[in-house]
Amino acid sequence: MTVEGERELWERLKRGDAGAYGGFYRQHAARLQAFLRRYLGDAKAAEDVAQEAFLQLWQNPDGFNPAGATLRAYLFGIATKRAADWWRHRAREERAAASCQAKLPSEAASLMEDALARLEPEPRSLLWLREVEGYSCAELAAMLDIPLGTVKSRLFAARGQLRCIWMGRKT
Amino acid sequence: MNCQEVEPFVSALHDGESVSREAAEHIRNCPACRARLEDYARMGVELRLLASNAAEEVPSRLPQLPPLRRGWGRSLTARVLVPRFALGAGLFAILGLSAGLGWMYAQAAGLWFQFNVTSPERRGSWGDQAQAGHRGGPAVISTVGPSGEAKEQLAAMINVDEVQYGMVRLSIRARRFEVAPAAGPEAGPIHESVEVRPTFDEMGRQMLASTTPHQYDYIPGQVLEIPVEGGGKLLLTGRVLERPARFWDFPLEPKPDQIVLTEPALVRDKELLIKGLGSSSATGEDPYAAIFVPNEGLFGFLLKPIEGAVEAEAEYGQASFKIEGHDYVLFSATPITGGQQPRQIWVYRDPSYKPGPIGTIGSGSDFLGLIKKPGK
Repeated sequence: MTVEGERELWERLKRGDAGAYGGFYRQHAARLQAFLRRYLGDAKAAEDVAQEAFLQLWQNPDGFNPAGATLRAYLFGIATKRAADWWRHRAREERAAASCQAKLPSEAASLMEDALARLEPEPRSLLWLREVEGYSCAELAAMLDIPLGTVKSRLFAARGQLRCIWMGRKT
Repeated sequence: MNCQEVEPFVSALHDGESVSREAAEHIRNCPACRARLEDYARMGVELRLLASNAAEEVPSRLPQLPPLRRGWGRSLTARVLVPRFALGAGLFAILGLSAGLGWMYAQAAGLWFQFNVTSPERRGSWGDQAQAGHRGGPAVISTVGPSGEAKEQLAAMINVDEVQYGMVRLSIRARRFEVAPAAGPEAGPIHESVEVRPTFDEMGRQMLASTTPHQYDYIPGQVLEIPVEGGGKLLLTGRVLERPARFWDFPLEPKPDQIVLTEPALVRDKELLIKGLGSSSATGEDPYAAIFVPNEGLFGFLLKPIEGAVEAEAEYGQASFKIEGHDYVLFSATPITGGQQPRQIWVYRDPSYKPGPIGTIGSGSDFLGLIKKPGK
């Protein structure tokens, strides 16, 4: 979508244009939910967080800065922060590791899926946003509110961990 | 550069960034680093394949869209996140402020003005406390000669019109009366003394009836000089209180040559004779303070003995003495006199003294002159 198209879409969302919102939802909901399923390891939680992210965009479109990113990146940023909150809440309830480890291996359809599931949530989501969703390091820095150098070092660390697990599972 | 140092550059290269020539040279010639770079590429492909394998169906559950409120309405009614402690502190502050304002309003409606009036020599004084609207009784400061004759009298009557924090509006009548000396010039030097009688009643009112009242905006804490019609002046000091004081602004540590009665009460054989008279003090060579008890007469309290006086032991705000077989106790809200405590003082009772129908309190420097005055 062009910059002008992004701005027009944003203006329509600000006006409460439910049609524009529906189109945006249909365009990005599946990808967002797929990302969240990888990040959270819980399909139901992924659906809930995705819904919350879309709802936040509907209720507070003013939080988006059209000069800094795309609406899609803004949506993924909202979802990532909410997913991180979900993980923090889950950790407090001392259920994080058990649930993640119990569910994902059984759903693994490939070695990569299994290896990915063994990564910590944060590097897992970062790799997914970079490799699958195609966000640049600069976009990720803006989306996650962290410095560009931190994005690069975290990506490097995440790749090293995933490679280690993946290569170990392959052999 | 070794492989460990180059690893971050492999990741950067995979992300499409350019790397230093040295790092690029190492990666080009190092099979392990090339293998790492290829692994990263394959991992990316595997991840994208993984995403592609997942069914990309639009979730059926579209979020319920709440109606949007816009403009001023939205900004005024939008919810904001406030920490609980901040909300609690805010509520506490509001309640405290409301209570404080209410309390101040209630108190301001009933402020008290406590004041003290002295002659310029400060040998005699009287005090009172009143709210707005108070019409004070007359008080007279008399300079009397050695044989009791009045030589000069300063009479004053103080009305309190308005009491505010920082300002008290007073209406004051003050007049000086010359009294011709009874003895001629050949009688020799006259030894003067001062007498203060705050409740002089009708006589004082008549003395001041023709005197023009003057208004003063008095600033509490300052000394107000009150010009006296006919010459002389009086000095007034005072303060604003939120509730009536238990006792006047009289010293908690009187001087050894000072006698003070502050809201005195007199008890005889455990029977309360009188209380709530006001306050009065005197200092100097022969100071006295006196109270009048209806049907009992005048009780003068002195620091030096006179004929007919009985000894009393004063200890701070209490003095005990015995007259005609009865045990008396005088209570005062402040120490009766200064110096080492307990201290001996003297009490003289004059049952024939009749200054008026109500109890009085006064002080001065010539008790003998007071009780020998003709016409009492």
